[in-house]
Amino acid sequence: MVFSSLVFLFLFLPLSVLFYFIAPGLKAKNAILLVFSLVFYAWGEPVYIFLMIFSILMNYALGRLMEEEPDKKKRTLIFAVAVNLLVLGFYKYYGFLLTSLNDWWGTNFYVHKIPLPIGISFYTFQAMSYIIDLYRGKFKAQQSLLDFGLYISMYFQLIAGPIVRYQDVEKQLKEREISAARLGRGMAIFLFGLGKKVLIANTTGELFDAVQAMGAQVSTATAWLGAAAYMLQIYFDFSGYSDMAIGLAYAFGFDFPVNFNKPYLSRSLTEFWRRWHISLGTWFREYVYIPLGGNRVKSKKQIRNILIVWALTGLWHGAAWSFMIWGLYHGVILMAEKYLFKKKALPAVPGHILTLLIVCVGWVFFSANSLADAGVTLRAMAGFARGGLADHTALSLLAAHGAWLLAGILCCLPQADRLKNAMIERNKVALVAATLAILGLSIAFLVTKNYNPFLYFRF
Amino acid sequence: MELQEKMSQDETGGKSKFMLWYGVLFILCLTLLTILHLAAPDRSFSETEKRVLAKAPAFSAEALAQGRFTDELETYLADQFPKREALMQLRMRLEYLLGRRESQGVYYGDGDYLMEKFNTPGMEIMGRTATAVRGFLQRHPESKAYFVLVPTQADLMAEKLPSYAENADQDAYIDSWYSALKNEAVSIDVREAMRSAMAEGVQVYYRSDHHWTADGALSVLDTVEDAMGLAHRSFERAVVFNRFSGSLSAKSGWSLPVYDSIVMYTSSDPDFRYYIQEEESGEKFLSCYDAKALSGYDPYEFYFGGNYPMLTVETSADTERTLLVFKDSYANSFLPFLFEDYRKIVIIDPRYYSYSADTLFLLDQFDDILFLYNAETLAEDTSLRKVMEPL
Repeated sequence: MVFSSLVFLFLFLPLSVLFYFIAPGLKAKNAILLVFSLVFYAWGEPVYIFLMIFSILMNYALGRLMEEEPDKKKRTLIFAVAVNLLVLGFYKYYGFLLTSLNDWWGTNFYVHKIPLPIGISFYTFQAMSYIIDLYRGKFKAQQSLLDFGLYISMYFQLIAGPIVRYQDVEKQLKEREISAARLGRGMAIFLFGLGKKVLIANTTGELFDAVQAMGAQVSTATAWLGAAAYMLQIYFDFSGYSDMAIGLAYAFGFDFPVNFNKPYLSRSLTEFWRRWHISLGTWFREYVYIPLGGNRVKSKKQIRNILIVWALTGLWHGAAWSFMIWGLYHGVILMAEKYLFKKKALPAVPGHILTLLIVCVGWVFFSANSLADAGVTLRAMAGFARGGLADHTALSLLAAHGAWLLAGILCCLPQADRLKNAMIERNKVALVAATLAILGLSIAFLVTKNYNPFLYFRF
Repeated sequence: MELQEKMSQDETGGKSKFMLWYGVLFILCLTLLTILHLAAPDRSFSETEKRVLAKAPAFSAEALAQGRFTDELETYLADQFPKREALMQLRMRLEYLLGRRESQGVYYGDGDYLMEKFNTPGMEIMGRTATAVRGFLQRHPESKAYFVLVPTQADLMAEKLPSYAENADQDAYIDSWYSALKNEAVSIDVREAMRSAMAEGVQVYYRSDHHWTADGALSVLDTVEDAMGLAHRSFERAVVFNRFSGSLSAKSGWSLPVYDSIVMYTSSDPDFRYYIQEEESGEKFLSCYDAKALSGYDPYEFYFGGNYPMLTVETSADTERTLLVFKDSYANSFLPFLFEDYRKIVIIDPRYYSYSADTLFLLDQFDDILFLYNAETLAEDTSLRKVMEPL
């Protein structure tokens, strides 16, 4: 199930709030939340739910084993990490691996199509953060299977993050404030996230899809429009989801860390990655970069470590070479910023522009169906387009979708964020008006997504 | 982090009382809509989209495991959502205000005219069809052939299109057809007649539908009669339906602020009679107008009750002249104007007719052959070529 669906908004959300608030005592509330979370997951993955349950049981048992047999702690850790990675690797990278082998060495493996279990990248990383931090002695093993299951499967963050570390919610699993006021504020945060996703990500996404469908025929102007549209789509989609998750979690008594902090206002790529998908960056720093030696090793090793981290970050986003290229592209530029331009920060305006350009070019790799397609788009953006520099199509697309692009750009500004916070903090009238507008329009957009006239008229 | 700090600062104080109500009302509001949704009876058919709406899905373990149940439930909720049409218009009007003038290949033109985009036609398809038509006409030199290609809105009303609209050159396409058939058929160019009718204030196209109006069809009658050597006639006009919302409205999602009207023209000769036989079923009709269609899903089917593979019209006209027509739906509102000029008219819609038209000449002969298409249909058509091929 996704948050931006009618089933979620009109059935799942009211029911889960109702049962959660009626349930007496924290234990019962946790149980209700676990049940709803499992239903939430099973809704989209009626079969792979068992894979997630397996993951919960295994990590729970290994966690307890680590604590009960301290002398085998390291072996248990290695085993747990290996199994988690194997499961993730099998479901996410099996096809990619075999296809690449076939391409490179002319092998002829038959590649079964394995559908990717929703959210497996997220919950596996959460489970691994638990196991690794447990090994590091940051906390005691969770004794309650119920609470551990809830940590892994909590429906707010289950399918699109943020990746919540166990240490961030350990206390809240046992003790947290549950109140109608928190519900209200949580719903307000959720609402703005919903608007980001349905009103801006989906509409700019339509523009991007239209451009992508034109393939190699685009003009330079059209290619840039498509790139700008994707840049907004991915941010509003991803951060909208995160906001919805954070809002829901808040409503149910949990404090999740902020996951996106106005990333497009960054003046360098280094800053961008401190603001973009913060929980993922934290995860890779904590569990990959630092264990590899982090900043405390010689620069040669540091460079190797940075490249490893970014190749993995790329692959985490998707099992394809274009994602790995995207990750390495970011890694290389980050290294350049770190070693070459260490103290030479650009002035504000060129800094902003250059950072946006770097990120925008990166998204071309990210969004393309293949590396070859990315090449075509980049060539078009550089002015070597088959469709010329500009054409009617670009104007036509701009007229049809320009308003949403503009709305997206405005919502990236710090003023938009301040306005939103002001509404949540103090301005009741504005909040009620914004709620009616965002909810009303979101429902209108969701209900008519399947507007699907029967096109009899040709016949 | 900022947001979180602010969150925790704010637990006390007057604001949280409002937030308390806000959350409860938010959830109640969603619940209320759900109850409204469940309480309202399901509708089976959408007038605006002209399609059957989804029904509540039947639950089964199998459907659930395949993910079918959940998908169908989402579709059902969307299809049966209270005030769905109004929400659709809210969205389309909002986007219109924000500058959107195109939806699903339909442009919203000035003065509330919807117009279908004319795509660059495939000249290869045209070449093959034209060759087949020429071959057919050469096999039947005893019949005199006439060719009418009617432009669509996007041509004659191009000045109402948004300035950036992508619109291929329809005039050039029509001209290339006329020159391709110049030796085999008399080309009847109706563009001037339609333009001057428009200049006189005649609404030659529907606002919400891709067809020309019966008034538009009438505006070219003199031109056609002159070319075919027929007498000029006049007809009785009556508006039979004034709440017509057509195919372009359905396709684009824009409901227009004004409805279109459907007009019926009848012979001014009270003694003129005809009947129409639908050849597939053998059913006979005494009128080419089907009043039932006006309350159906496509009121344009008022003309001839829609499209059939083959219709035969036998009339009481005092002549022995016969006519064979190859046409698309544009012809449906025009052909009644020719009834009094022929004893017998055979009407073939090649999109549904799956034989060589040569078979028609085994039993019958025709004095005249008329091709009547609109440029848009013909540009995408491959069925005429098949019908034109030899036995």
